[in-house]
Amino acid sequence: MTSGALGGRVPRPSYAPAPAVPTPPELAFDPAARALADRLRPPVLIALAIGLWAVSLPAIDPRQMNDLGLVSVLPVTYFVALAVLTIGFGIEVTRPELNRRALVGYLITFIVIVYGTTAIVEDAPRFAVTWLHAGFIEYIDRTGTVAPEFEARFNWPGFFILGALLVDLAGLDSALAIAAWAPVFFGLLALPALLMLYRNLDADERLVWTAAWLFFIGNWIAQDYFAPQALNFIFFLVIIAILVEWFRLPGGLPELFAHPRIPTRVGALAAGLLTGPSIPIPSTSARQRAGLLLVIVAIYAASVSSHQLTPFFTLGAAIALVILRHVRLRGLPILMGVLVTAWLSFMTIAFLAGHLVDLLSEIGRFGGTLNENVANRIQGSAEHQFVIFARLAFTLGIWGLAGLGFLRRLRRGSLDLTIAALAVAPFPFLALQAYGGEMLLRAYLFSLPFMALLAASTVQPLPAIPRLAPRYRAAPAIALALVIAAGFLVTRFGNERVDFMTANEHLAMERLYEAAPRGSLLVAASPNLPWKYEHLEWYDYVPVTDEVLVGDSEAILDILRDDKYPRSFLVLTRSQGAYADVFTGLPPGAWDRFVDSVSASPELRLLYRNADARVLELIRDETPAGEPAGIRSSTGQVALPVALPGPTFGPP
Amino acid sequence: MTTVAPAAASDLLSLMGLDAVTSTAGVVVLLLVAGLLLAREIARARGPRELVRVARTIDIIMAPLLGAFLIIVTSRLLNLVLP
Repeated sequence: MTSGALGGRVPRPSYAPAPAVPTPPELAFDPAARALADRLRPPVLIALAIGLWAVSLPAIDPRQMNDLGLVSVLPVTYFVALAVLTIGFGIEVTRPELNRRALVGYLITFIVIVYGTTAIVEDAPRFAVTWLHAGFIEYIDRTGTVAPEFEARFNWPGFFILGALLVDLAGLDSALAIAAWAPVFFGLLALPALLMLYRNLDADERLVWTAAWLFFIGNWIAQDYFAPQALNFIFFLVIIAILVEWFRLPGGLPELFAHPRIPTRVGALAAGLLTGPSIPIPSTSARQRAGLLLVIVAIYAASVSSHQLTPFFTLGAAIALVILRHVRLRGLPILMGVLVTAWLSFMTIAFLAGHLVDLLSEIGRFGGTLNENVANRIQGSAEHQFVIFARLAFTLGIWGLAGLGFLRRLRRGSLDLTIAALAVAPFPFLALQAYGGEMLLRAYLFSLPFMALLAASTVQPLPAIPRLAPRYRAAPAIALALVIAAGFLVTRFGNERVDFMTANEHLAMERLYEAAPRGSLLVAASPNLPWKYEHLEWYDYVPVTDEVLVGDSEAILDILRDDKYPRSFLVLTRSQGAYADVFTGLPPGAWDRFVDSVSASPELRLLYRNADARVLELIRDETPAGEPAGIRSSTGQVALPVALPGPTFGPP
Repeated sequence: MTTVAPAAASDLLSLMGLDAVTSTAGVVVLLLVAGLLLAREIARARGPRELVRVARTIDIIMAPLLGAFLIIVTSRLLNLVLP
């Protein structure tokens, strides 16, 4: 049924059993030996990949990274492990009989090996913002409340409240104890939601598995760290998956063309094109459907209260599904709109009061948003610029593959408007918000599940390639997957030198917190360091801007001299140096010279020093006792939720 | 008599402030709108017959409630933007 010949109108396969790829005659050797090989191959290859990965781990030294990121310190065995997994998955997904356990095994192993490596080889949670999120959770845990006037992200506190609950229930000292494993955790959560989503959008099971693989290997955005976005992306997937699994409208869009006023031939042609795959809708009782709807609304309400953007992307996807008559809940987008509008207008007043005009002024500035998201970020060291261009090429490559897949599906006689609409639904939001230069990244993330499904259609069903023996039909697809995997390591971990935080830096901050009385001023040369993870409201944190980052010790001293504060501290860390090197392209040694120059100032005294950090204090004529600072606004770059760092096309 | 309602509304606004009034009224209207929309969708999820039965009742009050909700939200947002 899935001969895969290009240009032929191929009937859609049913979902189960999986369509079989014809067994080439030359492979039809001893059936018992073949069955044994097929049974043993997945566990052997998975074990081999895990073994190679385990061997690689001790050889990975994050301190030796250059501006290409993690890929610069990965040993050959790591690449071989990834290649073994990719080839093994490619073989498994093109076999005549699908082995679902093996495919799940490959995917889980991939998630652990690729998403979990940094959690093992780095001695502290990565991303400065992860530490800030731990600080929000610590604040809630300690005070039992949130402070929306103090920090914008407290206007959407759902994730942090959940985190505080988790920390309490698990008896942890801090959310930092679990933060490093967030990408693996959220990856494993996304897997079943993706599979459920895909199997309701296409009947070809090989395509479903291939798309899942492509999703994880295409997700270079890395918004799966310990952050509200990661949890909310799971919410998004689950809501859409429930909608397409249990609320699909039989007939759907093609029924519109059965109208008496539409000429029969036109109606039949359009209906033929638009008729989706024959996927059975699970039988449910009225009570079950009502319960499922309540689940959707509850998840959406949780999303509304915990993230600024995701509810809008979910709403956009729901509108697309309703307009295309894919789901029956036509009133759901209105309910979603009411919930998100209510939250914004009643619960985020503290944030909107200072930012509504700015937010409104961004509407319609599509060119400016694109510029802020891409063009303005192509800067930094030469290696970092290579990473940025790799990300652009990777992104365009995934979208290009999705376009090819869409055309291939069209050529097979299927116009998959639903998948295409879900894939493009996030992009109109670019015209509404720049989101601190991150909107394009978020649009990529929310379109990726559907782009991956379309992209998978370029290789599933396997195209017949002239002059290529049938037994090698999977080879080009596997080769393509290997190229994507190699690109993925560069794009996902390209900022790793900046994102990497060390235990030494953490230790320096601990010493700083011990020394600094409440109400002190804490200054850093950039926002990239592991701070703010406790007693967030006790201090004023000032990350100095790029303009005075290096070479202007006097500017930093000016900030420290502020009489408003009883004591002022300066913390300089390895991660700040990496930030300066990578994003501003500092010449080698410039950061160290800057640190030495600042440290040599007679106005500063060294409080603490280790291999990765220095803590200095401004010497004042008198050192008054610290007064309680209470809750006050940060004067640095912390106020806006639109500046969430993460892997970007360039410096955040 | 016709001036009593606007005058009362004006007095209420000046005494309590726009924010307090729209908060109180807004919560009531929001709960009603969200509850009724949810009931309508549950009816739709349960089946067409249920939807027809429920929608007949709900739709009568839904339009004015939605209108009130939009007015309250707009006034709250305008209150932030306008000096």
